[in-house]
This record gives sequence, C-alpha cells and structure tokens, in this order.
Amino acid sequence: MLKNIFLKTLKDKRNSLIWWSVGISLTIIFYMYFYPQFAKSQILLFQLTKMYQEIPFVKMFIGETLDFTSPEGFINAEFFSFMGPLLFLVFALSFGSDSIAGEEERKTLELLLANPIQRWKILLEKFSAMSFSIFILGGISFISFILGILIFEVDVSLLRLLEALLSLCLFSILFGTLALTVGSLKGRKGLNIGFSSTIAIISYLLNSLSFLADFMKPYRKFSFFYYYIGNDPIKNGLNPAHILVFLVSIGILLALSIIVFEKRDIAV
Amino acid sequence: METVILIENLTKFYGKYQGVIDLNFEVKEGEIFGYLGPNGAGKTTTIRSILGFIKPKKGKIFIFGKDIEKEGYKIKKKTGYIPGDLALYENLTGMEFLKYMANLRGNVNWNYVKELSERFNINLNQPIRSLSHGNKQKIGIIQAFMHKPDLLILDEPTLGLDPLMQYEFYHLISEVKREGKTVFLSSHILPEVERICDRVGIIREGKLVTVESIDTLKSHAFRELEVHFAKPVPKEAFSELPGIKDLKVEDSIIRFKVVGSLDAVIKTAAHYEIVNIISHEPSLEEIFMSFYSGEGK
Repeated sequence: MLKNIFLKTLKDKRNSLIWWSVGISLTIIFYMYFYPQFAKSQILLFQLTKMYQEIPFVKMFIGETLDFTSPEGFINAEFFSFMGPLLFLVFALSFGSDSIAGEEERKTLELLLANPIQRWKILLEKFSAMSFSIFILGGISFISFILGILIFEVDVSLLRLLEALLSLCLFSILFGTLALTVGSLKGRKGLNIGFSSTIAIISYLLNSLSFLADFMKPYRKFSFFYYYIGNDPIKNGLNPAHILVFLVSIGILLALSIIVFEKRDIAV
Repeated sequence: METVILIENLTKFYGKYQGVIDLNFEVKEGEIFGYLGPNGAGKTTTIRSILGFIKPKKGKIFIFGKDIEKEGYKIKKKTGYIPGDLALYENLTGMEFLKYMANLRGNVNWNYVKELSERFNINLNQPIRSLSHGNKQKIGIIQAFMHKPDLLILDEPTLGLDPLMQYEFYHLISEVKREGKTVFLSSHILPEVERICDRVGIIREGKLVTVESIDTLKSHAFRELEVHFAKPVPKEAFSELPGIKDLKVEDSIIRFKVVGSLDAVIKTAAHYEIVNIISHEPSLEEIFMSFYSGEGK
C-alpha cells in the first residue's frame, strides 16, 4: 500500500471508507426493509399525501413529485433526494479537502515534493484515489440495494438503479474535486471545506426551491443538483448531456487546480 | 570543478517569513558549504527556493546547470533534503515511511538504509508518532541520504540530536565528502559549521553578509578569554601582544578578546602561575559585528 501516492492515500482513508460503507449500507437496507410495509399501509400514504399538499416545504427533502407508491419513487424520495447525496457529499468533501491542503497543513507535502515527482502528478493521484473511493461507496450502495431487493422482494430495475448511483458518484466526485481544487489554490483545509459545502448548499437550494416557487425554475440549471437528479435517473435513466456537464466541470476544475498548484508557493 | 548550485539575484518575500534580498552565490562540486545565520535570517527561505517549493520573485537558481523552474523535478533525482521543520507521516512506522519515500524516488539500496539505522541507533519498527524529536530527525537524515544523492540540502540537520548522534552525523558528512558529493547545510551554530564546512555564507536579515572560506572565518573570529592567575599580573605584559583587544585587568584576573592565534597569549601567560582559563565562543551576532565594523580584519 506504499507503492505510490494513490495507494498510500487509499491506505490513509481505509478506515473512513469502511465506516462510511457500513453506514450507507445500513441506511439503504433499512429503507428497503421499510418499503413493503409502507406500500401496504394506505393510511400512512394518505397522510403523507395530505402533508405534501399542505406543507410544500417537505418537497425540498423528498423531491418534486409525490410518488411513494412505486418502489422507484420511494427510493428516490428516501435515498436519492436527500440522504444519499448528503452522505456521499460529506465523504467526498472531507476527502477532497484533505488531499492537498491536509498534506500541506501537516507539512508532509514538502517531503513528497522533495522527490522527483511533478506537482500535477501528486494532484492527479490524489484525485484518482478520491474518485476510486467514491466509486467503491457507489458499488457498496449497489450491493446493499440488491440485498434489500432480494430479501424484501422489491421490484426495481437494477440497471436504472445503477444509473442513479452513477449519477450520484459523478455528482460527489465533482464536489470532492471542488474541495481538492480550492485546497490546491490555498492550502487551508477549514477554508476549503467551508467554501465547498457552501457551494453544495447553494446548489441544493437552487434546485429544491424551484419545487416550491415557479419563478425559481429557470435557475435550476445553475445547480449541480439538477444535473444529478433532474432527469430522475432511477425512472428515466441517465441523460448524456447531464453526464457531460459533470465530466466537463470536473475537467475544468482539475485543469485549474493543476495550473495554479504548479505555480504557487507551498506554505510552511 | 563544476558549479552545483548557482544563485543569481534571488529575491523572495512571502507571508510573515523573512524574505531574502538579491542573493548571489555559488557552491562547487565536492564542497561542504555552510549557510550560517541566526534564526529567522532567511536560511529556510533560500533553501525552499532552491528546492522549488516557493517561486522566486526575482532571480534564477540553477542546480547542476539546470534551471529549477524548468527541470525542477529531474534535478530532485540527484538531491536529498532534510526540512528545517521536519514533519513525517505520524501514522506510519519509520520503516514504512522510508519504504514509501524509497518507492516514490527509486534507486534506494536497502542495505544502506539498514546500515544508517544501525549507525544512528534508531528502531524503525516503532510508529513515528511515538518517537522523540531527535529520533524523528534521525529518520529525516536517513531519508535524505538513503539514495546516495550527489547534492544534499540540509536545513539545520542536527536539530534535536544528542552530541553522540551529532558526532555520527558529522562523520557521515565527511564520508559523503570523500565520495565527492556536495553538501549545502544551514546552521545557526558556528562551531558546527567550523567543524564540517569548507566555505561559509553568512546571512543576516535576508542579505548575504559574506562568503568566506572557513580559514578566513576563523581568522576573523575572535574569542573572549578570561585567565585567573595565582597573583596579580602587570597589564603591560599583555597589552602589546598581537591580536589582543579590550584588555581588562582586575587584580589577578585578566579579560580580553583575541583575534586569530592564541599562541602568543598562552606563551606569555605561562610565565605566571595560572589557576584557570575560561574561553567564551563568540556569538553569531558578535561575528556579524566584526564583519560589519571590519573588526579583526
């Protein structure tokens, strides 16, 4: 695990990755356990529908349309609308912000740079380790869904589920890359977690507020949440244009971080 | 002889740290070059510029004839470095840390690592977080020397080492000197630099005061001596001796500064019964003052 920066970074994050996997996995299996009972309970459904009509605010957390009766709608409302992105984002932001800024604050970045390694290579290895870990979380989520589906006999398209998880992974990698980029501009961890989470929250609000107020609708397109879930991937699959938005944004952030990181002073 | 380090008009300020102003000097192949200055004089700024961690505001740095701006990472194949403020990966053991560094760098002979760890008496199987400052410093030394680099850049390398280990370190420096390697070493301790270096650059408040051979430095340097005699001695016996300054006689005790050789003083003093001789090493500040005022030249 000490062959290169990529593997060393994974080694450092191993425990964190294990605990996040356990947490996310339990969350998913809990939801899947809950669904069949929920689907049978007409009273609960009725009350929820009423609540939905009376308190529009709820839409911010469970999505634009109320669809609790289909398993896809249920999984969307319970996992992909709020809890899933929240769990994935916290992991991605802490990973991304630690990548360069963490090494710099702990003063170990100098030791890496004293070796014959280019700065851009350190950055890309850190980025790869982060993306890889997020895909592992995505994979663990997929396995947990499959387990839930098998045990509790829920009928969901596995392909669509995979597409929704892929969208979630890309979305998280984007925010992780944002945190990594801010860290490569200025090596202060606190600053870049703060900045990146603020962007994530604004992004979330831009998208969710549009469920409540029509005049907000045009602004959805400025939100990465829209590109993540706007197409409703668990029902409609991935929208290639939305995937492209993520890939291009990640590419731009990486290029920016390399350009600045190559030129800037490493803090003592 | 090839020029290994060439610094031209280097100027750099950053943050709250002491910058450096218009530095010019070179270090030749096979030389042990001491970079002497008090804490906060700009030694670390110079060293971090040489390694490309910070980018010069003005000026150029060439290592082995290559511009560090353009070929910085290639140059590092041939350099070893000990940071002034050494920080290691606390969660690794010494062995794991060195393996990681060796993997990133390549070309490390593991037998040499073992030899160095035995010489410096360090247990590499302990987690780094449990090690004392001195023991961490030893690991820092091993990682800088383990690939037998042609150029060693050492920022206060003996910091935290006990005297025995300092001695071992000086021994290691003389070994690499015999192999023809070049060493650039910063220090704020004059006797250390006098002991191991061939030439010295003295830096103060970001400016290079002088670059001298150790012999010249020694001839400039003065010592403060206090000689206690059994009986009072005549002042005239000492006042005319070569190199004597600030002579004070109080009964049987004389106090003075002497520049250069002590020979004449000792021979004169030997005519009387001596009880004690106390010698004070001049502080760096006093040496700077002697350079500034031209004292001792």
